[in-house]
Amino acid sequence: MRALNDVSFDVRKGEFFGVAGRNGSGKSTLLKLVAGIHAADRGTIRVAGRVGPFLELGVGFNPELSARENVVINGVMLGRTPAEMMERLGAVMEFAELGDFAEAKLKHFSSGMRLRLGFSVMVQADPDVYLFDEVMAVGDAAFQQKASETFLDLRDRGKTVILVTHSMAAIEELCDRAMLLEQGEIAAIGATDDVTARYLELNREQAERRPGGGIRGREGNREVRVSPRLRASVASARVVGSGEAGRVEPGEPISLEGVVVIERPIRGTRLWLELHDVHGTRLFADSASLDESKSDLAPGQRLRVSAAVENRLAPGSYTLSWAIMHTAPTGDPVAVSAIDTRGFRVAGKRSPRSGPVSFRYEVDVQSAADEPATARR
Amino acid sequence: MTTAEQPLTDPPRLIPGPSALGGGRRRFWNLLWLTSLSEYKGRYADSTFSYLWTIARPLMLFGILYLVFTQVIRFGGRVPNYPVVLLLNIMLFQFFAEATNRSVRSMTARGLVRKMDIPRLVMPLSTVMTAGLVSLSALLVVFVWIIAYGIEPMWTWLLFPVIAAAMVALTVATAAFVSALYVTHRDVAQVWPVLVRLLFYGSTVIYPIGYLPPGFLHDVEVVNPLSPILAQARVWIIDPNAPGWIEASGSTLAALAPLLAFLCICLVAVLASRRAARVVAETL
Repeated sequence: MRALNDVSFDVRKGEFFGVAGRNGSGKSTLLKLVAGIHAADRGTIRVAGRVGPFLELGVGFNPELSARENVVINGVMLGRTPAEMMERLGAVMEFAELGDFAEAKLKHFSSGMRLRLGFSVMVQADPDVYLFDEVMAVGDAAFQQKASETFLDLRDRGKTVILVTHSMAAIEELCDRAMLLEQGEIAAIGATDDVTARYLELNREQAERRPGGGIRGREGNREVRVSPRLRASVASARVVGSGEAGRVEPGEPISLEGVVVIERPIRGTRLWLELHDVHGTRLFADSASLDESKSDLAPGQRLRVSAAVENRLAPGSYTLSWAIMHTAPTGDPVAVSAIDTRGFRVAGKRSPRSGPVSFRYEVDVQSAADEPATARR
Repeated sequence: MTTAEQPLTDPPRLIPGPSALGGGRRRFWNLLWLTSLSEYKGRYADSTFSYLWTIARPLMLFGILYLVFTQVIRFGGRVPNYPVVLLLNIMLFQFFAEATNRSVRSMTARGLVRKMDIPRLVMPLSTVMTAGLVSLSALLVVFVWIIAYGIEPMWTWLLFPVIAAAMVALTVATAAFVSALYVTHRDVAQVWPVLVRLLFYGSTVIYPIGYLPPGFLHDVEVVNPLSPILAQARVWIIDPNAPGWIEASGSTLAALAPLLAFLCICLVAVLASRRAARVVAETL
């Protein structure tokens, strides 16, 4: 079995490089190859400078030894000398927020403490190239905060970082460039927008292909099923704003343009739409009757479908999923085309705390005595 | 204004993947020394008793064997200086047995190789080094015992480092081999302690050279690399009149059999550990 195939890429000095991909796509294997933990059967890897890996399984502490001994040994593994690590011991313990525990055996540490210590050794050993695997998925909120601050700091200091993550938000906020792996091959590489959009599409497609149940989405409080007997196929589709495809300005309507080919007669045709954010959260779902639904649609007929959705989305990546539905004899909505998913981006720099939607709002502050002073936005 | 490109501080270095010795000589020695020292301290830090036990255990084994071979099987009485010869042999053998037995699982221990790029030979070698540190203090006891027994110090005691070096070389090669073999063949963990027993009886630990009648055990003794080391230790440390290895073997050619066996172990150790180094992280 091949974990990675034909994966060639360069990361420049000082670059923050994101690697995305679904589970089993080869992300972790890739990092382990760069870290020298596994050997590639074919191909070459070159790195300038010392590599500091922080991988999914921890950093290999010995529970029987004290924190101090572990810090020194681990630092030596990262290419430092014992003397250098003894010098940095104070900084390591402080950064890990474990000030008084240098002499305590690691087996008495909680998993959170070990995590902090491992992270701290790695950062304080100050390698030239940092490798992080899913740091966003471990630890408590305080650790997450620490990791985020560290990333920003590494970015500011011009460190070279390869970050494997499922968080498209992290890729958009931190990375200069990114790569998407799918089944061990590069599915997209380059600008972070393209990579996150492609990742979201892949994820939606996968979710829709998942066997069993056939429950795909939601309309009102009713689940939308995809009929096993499809009656229409999507010939083409894209999400557009005023400019290039897949890109919409803030506030500009999100336009879907699609072409559908009817394969079997459909009665009571509806268009179903669903909007997801970067975390996979459903933001909106609804269906609308198509004009042609008054009459039956005949096989061979081509429909041009367009929809414009009001845009209250904050900058970032989203997906728009849609399908042709008909009303089943039972009255339930059933999709009769495969669900088509398109990634798109609302232009602008994403801010992690702003949330997925952007509302207009007014504030009004007034002293009880004075005239009202109104700010409008 | 110059428009020279910013030069890289280091030229890009090929990442060859895990290896037995790679990653820089200095890093290797630092790792080896640190892991050995901390393993040594870790094992005996809990109580001074556990440290005393490491000396007491071989002493007790010596006591039992001494009783058996002087009172039950009465050949011990015919061997000159049997009590000191036996203790010295047991202490030397114990180093080999302890180091190799502990090294079997060392490469896979704690899944370390899946987490860090660590030169694989550090692990078996650090168990050898730890066993060596333990043996140093045991040796002190042996020499006290030898002097108390009435053996006069001899100039040949200065040759002890030669014995120690031969012992370490043999142990390192064996430890590297068994730990590497364990990566692909987990049965090694079951079989190796039994083989160590065989080497114990198929060597000159409990009886002097020439005692074994022709047969399987005798054949083992003749090629066992431990035999010449122990025989020479007896001559240099305890009894200059005891037969040396070459003398006891009958011919120089026959005397070289253990050396050949040692070289074979070295060869398979190199081959096996190079192979194991690349695959061990994937077998866990």
